[in-house]
Amino acid sequence: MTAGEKIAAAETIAGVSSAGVVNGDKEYSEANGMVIDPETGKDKYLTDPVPEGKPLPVEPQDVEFSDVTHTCTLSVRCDTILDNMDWLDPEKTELVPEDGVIFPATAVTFYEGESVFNVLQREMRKAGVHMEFSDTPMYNSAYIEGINNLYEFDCGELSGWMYKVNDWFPNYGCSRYQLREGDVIEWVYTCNLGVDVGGFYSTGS
Amino acid sequence: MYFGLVIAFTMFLMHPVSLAISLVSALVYAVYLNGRRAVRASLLYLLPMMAVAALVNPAFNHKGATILTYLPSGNPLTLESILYGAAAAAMLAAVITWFSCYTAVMTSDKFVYLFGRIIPALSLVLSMALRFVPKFKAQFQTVSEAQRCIGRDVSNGGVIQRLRNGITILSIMVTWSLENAIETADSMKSRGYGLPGRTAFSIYRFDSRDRAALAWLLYCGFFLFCGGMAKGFYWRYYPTAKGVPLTPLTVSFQLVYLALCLTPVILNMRADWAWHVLQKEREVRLCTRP
Repeated sequence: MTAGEKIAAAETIAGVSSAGVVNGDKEYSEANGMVIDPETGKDKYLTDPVPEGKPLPVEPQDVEFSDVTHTCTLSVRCDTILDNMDWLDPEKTELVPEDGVIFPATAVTFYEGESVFNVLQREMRKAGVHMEFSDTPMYNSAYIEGINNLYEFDCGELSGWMYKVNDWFPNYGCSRYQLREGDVIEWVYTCNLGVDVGGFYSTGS
Repeated sequence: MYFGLVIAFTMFLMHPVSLAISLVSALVYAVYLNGRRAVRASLLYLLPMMAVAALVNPAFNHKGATILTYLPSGNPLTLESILYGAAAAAMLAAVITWFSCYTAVMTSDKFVYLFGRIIPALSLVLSMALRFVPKFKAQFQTVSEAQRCIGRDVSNGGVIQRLRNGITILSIMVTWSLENAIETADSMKSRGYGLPGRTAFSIYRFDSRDRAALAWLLYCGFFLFCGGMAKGFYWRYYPTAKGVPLTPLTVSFQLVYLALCLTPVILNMRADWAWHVLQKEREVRLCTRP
């Protein structure tokens, strides 16, 4: 399946974007410093404008970490797989925890300026949980390929890892989401491009 | 037939025991055919190649449950990816060694004997192509020596002159090889090659030993194919390395595989031994064994 076919498939399942997914606000984004190319309507890393009131992407190369520590909450879950066990790669069944929780909601410390990706990488390493990512320069972010050996496409062609912060699925990569005190990060596995976890972005076509 | 079977099984069976069997028997057969020295020379490039293949996999593949350490990129280095890299390296080396045995055994007359009647054009083209490089080299030597006698070799004159001489020799070679190919084809045609009812001379007969060997190969192939279908060689590397438990049945699969891989070595050794015994007895006897 090509990317377009996948989006079309998810659209036939969901119809429209998930509830809680709000379209971006160009004026708000530009007023807060996002540079939008008038031709594509996206910024230079192909990100659409961010909805009003949501934090804007911060490029990791511009950030300097400070020694000030903050706390946020991190959890990693894959309970959608439990509903779609027949789609799952048979070699991977033993990897899925019975309650779907790979990393329970835990208060973790981070340094000011760090991104969702920094926190995930450090905590997974600390907990001894396998995690593989690849850097995608086009989106200026790391892409999480697999956590706990559960990889993208392991549970159907529309499956993979998504993240939400304070119940919002950001429309940009996890390396560009700069954390604030008290943020709640949830990494969830989706089996159909985000429809089952409430993070599907319909392109409206 | 034998090589087809063995190479196919080597490529499809990723079970570590099967790979070890295949690699070891390939090396044993290569030592038997080409001698210790030749195999040592080929190991000189096989081993570094294996090392590269084994190292490349964990560098780019981070799957696997057993995390050993973290690479500078931040991704984990896992035990499973190292094992898989080693397995892939062993498979690569085994297939290459099998092919070196194949070239030693399958001379072009055998090839034409086997396929001359089924696919005459293709087998002629193949045997000509295989023959082309050594023949070209020999002819090149001749031409270049002849040119040197009249002072027109690449070792005579200044840079420009050498270059011109080289181009002349190349042109001669191209003309010669084209003409030679046409001549060969014409000559084969005038002898009626590939016509229906035409036989090809060969020193091989299909006798009872060959029938027995063919039956044995078919039996092994069928048995192993069934074993593969029944997941008797099941082995996975990701996310954790594990495979079928050791039961009499799975052990029998591996044993048959070992027997299949070692068949030519055993046959040749037996023939050698028989020959040795005959010579020892100093008897004048008609020997039918090759």
